[in-house]
Amino acid sequence: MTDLPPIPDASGAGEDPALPAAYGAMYQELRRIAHSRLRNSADFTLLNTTALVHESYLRFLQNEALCFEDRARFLAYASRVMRSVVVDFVRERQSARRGGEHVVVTLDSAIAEVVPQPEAEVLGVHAALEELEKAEPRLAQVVEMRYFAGLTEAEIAESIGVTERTVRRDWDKARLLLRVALA
Amino acid sequence: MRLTADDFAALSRLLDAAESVSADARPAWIESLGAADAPFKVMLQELLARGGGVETDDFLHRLPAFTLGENVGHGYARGRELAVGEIVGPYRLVREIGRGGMASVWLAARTDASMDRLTALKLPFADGMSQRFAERFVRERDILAGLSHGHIARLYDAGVSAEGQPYLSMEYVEGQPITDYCDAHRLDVKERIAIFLEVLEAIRHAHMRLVLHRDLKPSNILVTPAGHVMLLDFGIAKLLVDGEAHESDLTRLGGRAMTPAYASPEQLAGSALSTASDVYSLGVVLYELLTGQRPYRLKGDSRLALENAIAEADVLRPSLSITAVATVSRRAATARALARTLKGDLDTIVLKALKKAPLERYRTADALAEDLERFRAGKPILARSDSAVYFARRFVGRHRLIVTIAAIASLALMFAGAISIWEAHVARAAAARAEHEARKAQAVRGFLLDLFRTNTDAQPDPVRARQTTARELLDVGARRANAHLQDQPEAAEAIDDTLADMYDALGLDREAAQIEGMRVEALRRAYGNKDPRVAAALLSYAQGVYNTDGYLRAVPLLAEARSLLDATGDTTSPTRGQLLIDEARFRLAAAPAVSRHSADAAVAFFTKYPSPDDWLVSAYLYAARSRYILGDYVGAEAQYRAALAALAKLASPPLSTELTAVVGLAEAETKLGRIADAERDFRSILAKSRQRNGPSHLDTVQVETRLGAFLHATSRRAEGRQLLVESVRKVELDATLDQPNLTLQVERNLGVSLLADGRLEAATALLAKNAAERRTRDPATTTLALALRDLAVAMTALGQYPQAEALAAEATAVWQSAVGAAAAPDATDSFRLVEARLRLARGDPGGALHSLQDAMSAARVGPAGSPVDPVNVEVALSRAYSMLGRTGDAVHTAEHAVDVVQRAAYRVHYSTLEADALTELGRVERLAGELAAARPALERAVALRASSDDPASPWLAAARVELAACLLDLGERPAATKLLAQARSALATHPRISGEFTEPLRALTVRLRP
Repeated sequence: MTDLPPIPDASGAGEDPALPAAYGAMYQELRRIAHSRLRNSADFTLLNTTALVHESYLRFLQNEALCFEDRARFLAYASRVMRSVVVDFVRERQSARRGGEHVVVTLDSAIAEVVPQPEAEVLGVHAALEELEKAEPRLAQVVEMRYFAGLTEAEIAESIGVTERTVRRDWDKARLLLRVALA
Repeated sequence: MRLTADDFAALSRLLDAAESVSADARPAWIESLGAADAPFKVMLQELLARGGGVETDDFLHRLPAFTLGENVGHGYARGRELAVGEIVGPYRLVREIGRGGMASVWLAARTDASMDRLTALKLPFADGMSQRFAERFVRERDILAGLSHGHIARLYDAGVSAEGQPYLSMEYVEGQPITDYCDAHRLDVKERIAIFLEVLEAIRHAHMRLVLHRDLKPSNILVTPAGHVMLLDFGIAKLLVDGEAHESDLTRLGGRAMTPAYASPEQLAGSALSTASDVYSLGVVLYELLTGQRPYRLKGDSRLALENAIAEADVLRPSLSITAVATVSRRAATARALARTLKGDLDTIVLKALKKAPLERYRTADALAEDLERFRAGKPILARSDSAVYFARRFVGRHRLIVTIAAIASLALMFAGAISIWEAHVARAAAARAEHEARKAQAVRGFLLDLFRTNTDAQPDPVRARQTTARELLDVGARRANAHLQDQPEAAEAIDDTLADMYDALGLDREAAQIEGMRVEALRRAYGNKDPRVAAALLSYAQGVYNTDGYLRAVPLLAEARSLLDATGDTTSPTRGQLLIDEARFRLAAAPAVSRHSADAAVAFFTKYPSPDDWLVSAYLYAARSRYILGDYVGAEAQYRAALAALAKLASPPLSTELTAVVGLAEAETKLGRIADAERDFRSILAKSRQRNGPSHLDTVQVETRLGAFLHATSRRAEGRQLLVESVRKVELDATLDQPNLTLQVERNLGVSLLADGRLEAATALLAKNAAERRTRDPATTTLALALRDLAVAMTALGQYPQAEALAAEATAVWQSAVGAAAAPDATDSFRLVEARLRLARGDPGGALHSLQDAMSAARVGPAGSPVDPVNVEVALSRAYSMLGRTGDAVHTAEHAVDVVQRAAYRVHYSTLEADALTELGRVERLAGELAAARPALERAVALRASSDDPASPWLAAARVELAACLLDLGERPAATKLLAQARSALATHPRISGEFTEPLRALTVRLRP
């Protein structure tokens, strides 16, 4: 299982002591839901993880494990969990095969496109984020919430307490940095 | 490049700093950076150069889609090297021929046959292949293997090897891609078109069998050394990626198997494909054959730029894209001569094939071929006799026509035709008005000619003038008519009438309705408010509004027409009779009792004042359908028969009317329990429609889906399912069938059948979509009530009680307010039943009894034939009694239910009904301690369910659990354990399921524990 650092608090005060105790249990629950979903659906796409975050929010709300006010923090938290689920999944998948750095080239010279395997991209983003979050935690968090959990700019803005414009700027800047890191 | 946290921090700081430096000054600024930042200089240069593009490009825009599968881990991975001599399934690999993004292709020989036939063996990379894929694979294989045509490489075989490697064995073709072949042989334009026509011939063959190619490109279109065209990989793209007819959006994102440069806009967008999608790809190939170029000039060569171009950019006319000398010489021509050949008709043909909107393209390969043939023969394109049909038939007419000179000619003929019919009418009119009318006709003719002339004059570019679409021309005409003819109201009215018909013929409902509205106003101005002509125009307008906006907005217009007719004392004109029919039609689904009243009045009217048209037949049809909806099946049957009798008296009875009557009759017969009569009627009318309309006609599909629903509901599930799936497939593939009402109907029928099979999740998805669309399209109608009711049943089975409760309550309320007190009890029983079953599932037998109160009396009396509702009511009653501890009453009621169904005239056609009654009887007999009686009932119930349901059906599982309980009571522990395991694994496949199914299972599991 991928270990991820705790979610930085928007106030910068480090881990929130008031984080509901339920979050620990919720982490297990989220992973369980995610894995069972993967088993049943035979597909794994951004839509999946996004739907998963929103559905599980509603479910926890129903179970009263969360209250409405927790939504912002929950989105950040769930994005983190999605990232760990996706990365685990990709690693398992890679280890189930030999090699892993294969590049697929289509025969049609007219397109001559080189598609890096999706696995490489996911793992590359994950590794780069591990460094980026030390230097620019907010940028890393925006990437995590957008790329891994497919949240909208408005949701991200609400969750980390900045304007949508800031989220957009962060996202563009983070992508520039990641371009270098993934090149 | 691996970046550390410190690198990120430095780069981030530099990027922020760069923001305050203007773009021009940046190179100098970068140069001036200190030694500490030196390592980032190059990176920074690149990043800043790229910065502008980052918002628009798709880097990291979404998580890559992965497809999982059971085979992951032991399949062949993408990079797995296959070796010469290796065995895959029944084939031995001889030599690798090629390798693409989805698969590698090998020359292979069968291990179990002589060496002389080599095949091309396509081996999809097996990661991402799931169990479902394998099933789909086999199903699609059978369709593709049926494609047999001299220009299509045969698919011999497809399967999955023991190691999990899927394979496709295809005819091995030696040849050159069509573009290379034509260039190598320096073929001129006509020769190229001749070869291309062979391609179209093959595509036509496949399209007629509803198979799309989905990946047409030169490398899939080979020409053999003998000069014969061979198409490769037909439908393989679907085999590799696409899913069932009802794949979810999720799976659709799973991957795309096509070549972007030749893909249609809808393919890139991941939308539904049709034959027009293949036409688009053919257009790209034709463009390339003719000009040596692709249709788009790209800025940059990324895939994104290409996709944007396909979705947005205008296609350069082929005649303008001749640039390279080499291209020209390969076409045995000079640049000027080649451009001249392409200019005009070929430009038009290619551009039409490459339209962004599928409906604006040639609909089929056949239509494209026809125009190319005409070009070759030197005939005017698009001037085929078909265009008259296009105008006359709305469905086909949903194409925007490019008006070439030829088409303008045919349009002018249309107008002339309209005028001469109308002139004939004038001749019959009073002689005193003749001169007056002639002036009007002249005004109309003058106006129309003027319209074409203005268009031509206003366009300095004659090509542009020719490319004005019929639609644009009509829009101009509509504006001019109302601006210029204010002083000639009658002429304006005549023109409005003609324009409205034209819009209607083009399938532009909304515009047609608007024009009708203007016509009403023009007539009011001309004749005042109390004129029958205004009333007639109001009726046409109301029909237009009904088609576009539904009955709520159309009904007030009818009221207006009615008061106008009343005011003029008109009680006998055809307009009055038509008003009655429209009242019946508009209110059919929203207020069937009112509809019945109007329809009966219309029948009386047209009996008294006969009309040469089929209005009397229409009146009977509404009289019949409203009765059917209200549950008066005997009355409905009589009216349908009257409609057929009236139809037989017409000189040329329209087939579509006959079809409506016969299908309605068959459905009434079904409700009356006369299965054999219904089936005979269904099948005879289907045969007739297939023969006269063809297999893909709207009417044929209508009958197929309804026959499918009938067969499925009367225990012929396999044949029924096949028809239902087939009709959904036809609607998806053929753009002309894309009518909201038909789509909703085929999907609902399939949804209901899936629910009956116990495929709860697939059924719920379809039924939920249906209910949502009906809610917006048909609020407050019986149609909506039925859709909500079906969804409530599905939700109950899934254990989603709050939703089911809300849906059932809404369904009943909508139904009650639409039918009022007029409905027969058995039409309302099904709603009561849904409520009662929901309450039983929630453990509320008292509530269930309450819901069934009304239905009980009806059940005891029994309707004229069908046992369905009475038996269902008794089964529910028995269950409620047993939950209340009234076991004696329960046994008595269940026995009666079994007795009714087993004595029904067509017992074999009610097998699930019988299974339900037997399950209930066995259950309550066991509770009463009558094990010996319970056992055979339950055994038969399980057998009946097993022969009809999906293996994962919860209804089958429920029957097995009851049988297991009975066997355990009888001491047959191993048999009980086995049944329980079957039930458990069936129920486990449903992520959500009602406690009604899981509770008995759990209880029994506890009892079986050692």
